[in-house]
Amino acid sequence: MKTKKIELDVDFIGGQSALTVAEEKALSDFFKQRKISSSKTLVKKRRISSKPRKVLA
Amino acid sequence: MLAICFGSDTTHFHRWKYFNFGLHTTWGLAQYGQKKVHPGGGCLLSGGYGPTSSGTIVNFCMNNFVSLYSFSGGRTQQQFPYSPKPRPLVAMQSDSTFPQETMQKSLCFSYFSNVKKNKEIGLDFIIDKLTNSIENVLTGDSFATDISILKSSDLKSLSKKNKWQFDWAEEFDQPERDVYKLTIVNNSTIIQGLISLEVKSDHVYMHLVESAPFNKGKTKVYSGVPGNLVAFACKLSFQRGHEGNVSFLSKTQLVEHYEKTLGAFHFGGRVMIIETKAALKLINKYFQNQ
Repeated sequence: MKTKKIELDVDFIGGQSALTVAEEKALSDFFKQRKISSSKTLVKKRRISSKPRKVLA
Repeated sequence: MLAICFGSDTTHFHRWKYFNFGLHTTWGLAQYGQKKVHPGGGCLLSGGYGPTSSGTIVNFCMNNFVSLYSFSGGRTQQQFPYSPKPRPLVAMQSDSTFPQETMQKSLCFSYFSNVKKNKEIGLDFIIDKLTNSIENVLTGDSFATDISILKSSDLKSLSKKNKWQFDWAEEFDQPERDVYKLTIVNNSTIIQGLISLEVKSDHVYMHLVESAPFNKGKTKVYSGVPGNLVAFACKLSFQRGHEGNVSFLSKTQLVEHYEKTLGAFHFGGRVMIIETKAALKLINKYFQNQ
C-alpha cells in the first residue's frame, strides 16, 4: 500500500477569523492563573531570601 | 517629572517638548541621541533631529518602557507607575546620520504634549533591525532585515492579483491590529512577509502571518520569514510586559509542526501558545546580535 505525503502549508500562520468568545475567555483565564502563580512563587522566594542568616562564631 | 530638552541644532529647538508626569522634577539635556539621567528622578529624554538629518529621524524615547531598559539606566515601567501605557502610532525610518547603536535596542514611543504644534511633530514608533534573519535558499547567504509598520501606500502591491493569499487591506483597516512588514535592509520596497498583531491585556495575539508569494513553496527565494516575524511578535510581547506570551490559531495538522519549530504548546482546540521559554529561544535565534 502506498503512503501519500501531505505537504504542510507552513508559509502562513493563523487566519482572518477572530478568536471565539470562549477561546478568548479561556486564554485570559489561563494567563491570569499564570500571573497569580508566578507572583506567588516570587513572594515565596523573597520571604526565603529575607530570613536572617545565622552567624557562626 | 519635568524635562526640558535642547537640541544641538538651535533651529530645531521648538521640536523639543515639555512634558509633565508629576512626582519628580528634574531636567535633562538631550542632544542628538545623548541621554541624561537624573540621579534621583530618573528622567530621560533622548533622540532628535541630527544636524545633517534630512528629517527622517524622529525618535523620542522615554524610559518608562521595557524596551528602553538598557537605554535608560535600567528603569522599567514598573518603576514609573504613573506613566500611561504606550501605544505605537507611526513607524519611522532610521537615518544613517543617527547613531544606530542607540537606536537598535529601542522601540520608541512618545507621549509628549505639544507646547508648540509643528507639522513634523508626532508620536513615533521605531522598530529595531534584525540580523541574520532570512536566508537565500539557493546561495545560503543571510540578509539583515528591517521590520516596520505597514503603510497604506504598501497595500497596492498586496493584492490577491499579486498572489498574496489573504486580504491585508482588511487587516490594515482593523484599528486594534498592527500590521508589520519584513524587508531586507536597503531594499525596503520589496516586502518579504507580513504579520498582523494585536496587543491584548495579558499577551500578544498573532492574527496572521504570511510570507510573500515568492517566499512560498518549494521555489521560495528566502527562508526564515515566518520564524523571523514570530520572533518579532515574542519580542513585542516582552516589550509590552507580557513575558513573551504569544497566542495564535493553528490548523490541526500543523499543531505538531509548530510544537517542534516554534516551541509552542497546544492550548486546546485550535489555539496554540508560545510561552516565555520558547519566546526567548526564538528571540535569541533571530535577534542574536541584540
